[in-house]
Parts: sequence; structure tokens; C-alpha cells
Amino acid sequence: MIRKEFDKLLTLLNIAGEVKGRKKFQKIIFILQQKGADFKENFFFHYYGPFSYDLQFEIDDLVESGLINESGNVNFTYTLNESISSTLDINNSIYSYASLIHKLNSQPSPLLELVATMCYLKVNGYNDNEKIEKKVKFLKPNLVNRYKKGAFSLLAELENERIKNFV
Amino acid sequence: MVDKKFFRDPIYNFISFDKEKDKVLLELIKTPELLRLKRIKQLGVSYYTYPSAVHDRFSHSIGVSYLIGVIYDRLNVPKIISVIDSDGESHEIDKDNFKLLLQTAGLLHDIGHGPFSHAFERIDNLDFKHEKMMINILERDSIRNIFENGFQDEFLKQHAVECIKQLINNTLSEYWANEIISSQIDADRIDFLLRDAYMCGVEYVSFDYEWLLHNMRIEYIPSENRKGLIIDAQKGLHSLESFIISRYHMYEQVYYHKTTSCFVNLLKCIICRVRDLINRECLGDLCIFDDSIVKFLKDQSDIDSFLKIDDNYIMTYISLWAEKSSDDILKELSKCFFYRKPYKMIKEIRGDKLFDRNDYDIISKYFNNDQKRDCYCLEDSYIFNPYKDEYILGTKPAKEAEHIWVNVKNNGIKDLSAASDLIKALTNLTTKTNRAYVHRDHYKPLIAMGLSHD
Repeated sequence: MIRKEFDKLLTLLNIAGEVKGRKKFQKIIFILQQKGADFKENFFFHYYGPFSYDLQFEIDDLVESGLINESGNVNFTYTLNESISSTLDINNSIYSYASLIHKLNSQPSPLLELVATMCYLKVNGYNDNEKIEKKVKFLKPNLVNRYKKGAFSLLAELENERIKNFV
Repeated sequence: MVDKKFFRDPIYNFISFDKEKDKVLLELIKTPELLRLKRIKQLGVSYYTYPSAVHDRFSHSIGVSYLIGVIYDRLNVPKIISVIDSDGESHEIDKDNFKLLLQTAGLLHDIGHGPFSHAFERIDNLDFKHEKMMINILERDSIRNIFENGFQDEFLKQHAVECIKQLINNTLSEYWANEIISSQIDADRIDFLLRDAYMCGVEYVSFDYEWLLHNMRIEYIPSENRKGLIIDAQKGLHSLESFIISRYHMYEQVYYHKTTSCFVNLLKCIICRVRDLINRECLGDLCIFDDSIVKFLKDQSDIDSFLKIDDNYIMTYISLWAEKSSDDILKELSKCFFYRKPYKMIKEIRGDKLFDRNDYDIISKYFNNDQKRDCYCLEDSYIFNPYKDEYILGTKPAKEAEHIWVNVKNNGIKDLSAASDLIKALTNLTTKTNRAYVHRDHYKPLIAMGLSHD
């Protein structure tokens, strides 16, 4: 059933409380996917880093169905519709990523954009930090100057992050 | 007589590749990896709805490779192109060699597709994406050897795989080159629209692609601080509008046809059921004559097994399961698929959710079995349709969305929807449709229990 597909996103919002910004939502899902979370959305590399139309459509659909709330005009904030929370399956595998979700959600969007870009390069053959830095200097020159240190630090944390199996 | 290899093609009439300069392409066409695409239908199960839609991904791949050449030759491409390798070093490639690289990427872009094009995609606990599989197939020695022997450029001999990965992943430093391969107006889309429309017999889908390409240029896009593909609005706007409207019509009439969508979902159900039986080690229910499918469903990184699985392979299994499977659900699903017995559409709704909680309770109560419920009551939504059109369906265009840029006289470079009232109207249309299908045996009982329906 389709609701099962949506439940992963709804569970993420239930854990996060709120997600500020479409970009942040996109980058969090992408990074979680790289850490093994069973999100099925297809991402491609856009000028603004990994981006998924699937995810954009799904979020729009959840908003239109009233399952999540969207507030704001340009910078959107997403929260779960309160009445949905009690209907979610507490055994959803996304709960095992709770601490990572909190960590990512507390980061500024541009930093997540840079980290998501680095993750994207990593899964596409850029296997050491020196190579990644050279490439992101070209792909994200503005972000590299400001967020390089924080991004590499978060990237290292992500590599060490162990996902506990949710029981 | 020029030494060329010619292919007859219903879209472009003649496709030709130079036997010497384009050796890489001609060698790739002979590989088992590419020949496999002859056994994968471009439109999956659409032939159940449009009987002549039986064209394959092989002819599409050749078409894309050819069209990339046509686009390239008309663009203001620089004589030397710089490429940054994975060590961060810059390499210069001349215009002709770079063209061959792009054509090679075009030829291989669909090489990772599974049977019926999308049957294995977006299935729970199955780690399969055709883009990822394509990258893995590129690494095979058989492909690398062709690159080493076929490219004349020394850098490409060793690094073509890496460059193609960058092209497919949109991370090549020359962004306009990525856009020829993958963007809102790339060679892939142009070819599949023309080819699919022709093979389906949908005559109202057409656009003047040659005029469109004639008015395409590489220019600087200020808002994204990069060079990209631009259409001259004064001359090319109308052919661009036809292109978008063609996409819209194909989406409505072909890609998201209700019967086709039903069979796509039914096929996914079959794959899910087979996977579950394998996980439960009920192999006796599966009439195994070749274990490639078992190996692949257990391990999606098993490329050798994957390459053996094509439309014919899956259809042979389905015909067996329809007659001989001892698993009742798999047998029934396979019968419905093989003998073309679509489920009955119980509800279709635009821009709203299908069922409320009461409806879901009725469905669960009726089936009283999660497995039967998931197999005999299917839900479908535009967002899970593999052919969805991002440009038309994005009701709230995100900053990150891919744009089609046009150069408007005295007004600079604008997104297409800002330059064309027609496209602006189309992007605001709600074409988001959700549907529910029920196995014919369960249609009347569910309605009798009060399930909301059309």
C-alpha cells in the first residue's frame, strides 16, 4: 500500500518535530539513504547538490493530503499533523536513525548541502578527502570557504555513526 | 564510399556511425550487455494497452547516441574541453573526442535497466536502481577494454568510465555537457518522446525537434553562475512549447494509462511475492529452472545474475507460475498478468487522497490477511510512476528544480514558464491522480461492505 511508502517520511517528521526548509528536507533524506535507510527516492546531482523530484512530489502530496503541515512562503517549515502521530507504526525502521536525524536536523542547510555533495561524490568514486575537497571547490566554491571544516567534521561523524537496529 | 555503418530507424531514417572514428560505439553495440537491451521493452508493459508499443531499449539507446551527435554538431562547443578527474586534475580533450565520449554515454545510459524497464524499482528492501546498476556494469572488463582500444584520446582510454560516471551523475565540470545527456531537454527525452509516440501510434504527439536544436546554444546563465543550454525564445519558443505539450499528452495518454499502471503494479506485486517466497525459503513454489532470479533478489549487487534477467526470462517464469506454482497468491497474480486480466479500477481521484481511515479498515477487515490485501488491492499514484514529468507536475517550483532556460529578447535569460503563458498554464494544472484497483473477484464484495468507489 502507498501509505507504507509515506510512513517513512511521516516517521521522520515525527522524530524530527519540524524540518525547516525544503533543501534541508532533501539533504537529510539523501544522507540517511546513504547510511542505509530504506528511502526509495531517486536523487540526481543538481546545481544545489543532490536533489530528488520523487521526494519533492511526495512532500507536496503529503501536504495536499493534510498529513503534514507546511508553513511559510519562501522558506517552508514542515511538521507532522498531530492526529497522524498516533497512527504511525512504532516498529518503522526509520526509528533506528533517530539520533542521526536529530543531528542532521540541527545543522544549517548550506552545511548539509555541502555534506550531501561530499556524500554524493564518495559513492561515485571519490574515495579520499583530498579528492573530495578538490572537486567540491569546483562544484561548491562559495560553501567550501565557509563550511569546509564543519562539513568534513560531520562527514567523519557520519562515517563513524552506527545505526542501532530498532527492536 | 565513406566507410560507415548505417542503421535504418523510424524516427531519423538513417543513423550512421563512422567505422573508424566511432569504433567504440560499434564495438559496444556488439556486447552482451548492450544486446540485452533488445530484450527489454522501452515502455515495459504498455504493449498491453498499446499493442504496437513493443520497441526496445536497444533502438532507443542507438537513437540517443545519434541524437547527441546531432545536438553537439549544432552547438557552439569550444574547441578544447577541460575535464577534472577524480584526483582533481584537469585534462584537456579536443572537441571530436569529447563528442564521442558523450555519444558513448548516451549509448550506455540505459544499460542498467531491469526487466520491463522498471519492474524491480522502488520495491521495499530491494536495493535496486538502474542508474546505480549502470555504473556497476560500466566497470566490467568487457566495457573497459573497448574504451582502452577504441578511444584515440590517451586520457579517455583510461578515464572514459570515470568521465561517463560524471556525465550521468551531473558532476562533470562542463555543465552544459551534462545537460545534453540528462536535463529537462536532453537527447534521452527527445528520443523517447518521438519514438514512444511513433510506436504507440499517438499521432498528436509531435514536435519539430530539428528546429528546436537549431535554436539551442551554450550560454552563460547568470542566476546559476554557469554555462548551460539555452533556447532562443524568439525563434524556438513554439517548438519548445510543442515539446512540453507532447510530454504532457504522452504522460496523460500513455505513460500513466490506467490499464498500464495496473499491470506495472501487478508485476511489482509478483516480484515482491517471489522475493518473500525466496526469503521464506519456499523455493519449491517457484518452479526454478535457472537460479539467476533467486541470486539477484538475494543480492542486488550480483551483476552476472542481473544480466541474465530480461523481459523474456521473467515472462517465461510468469507463464510457469501461472500454471504450476503451489503458492496460490503467486499463481493468481501470474495468471492475471500472463492472460491479461487487469484488476478493476475501483476509484480514481485527482489531487486528493484515495481512501480515509474507514475505507482502510474495510479493506483490512475484508481480506483479514496482509499478504492478500497487498496483492489483491493495489494503489497507484502519479508519484510512483516511473515516467512522471517533473516539469509539468511541480506545482510549487523549488529553487532546486531543473529549469528550461530561454533567452528572451531585451529581457535576458528566463525560465520557460516565465516566458510562455501556455507553459505557465500547464504547470499550474493538477494532473496528480491516485487510483485503486481491486482483483475482479473481490470488487463487488468490497463495495457491498461499504468501500467508497467511483
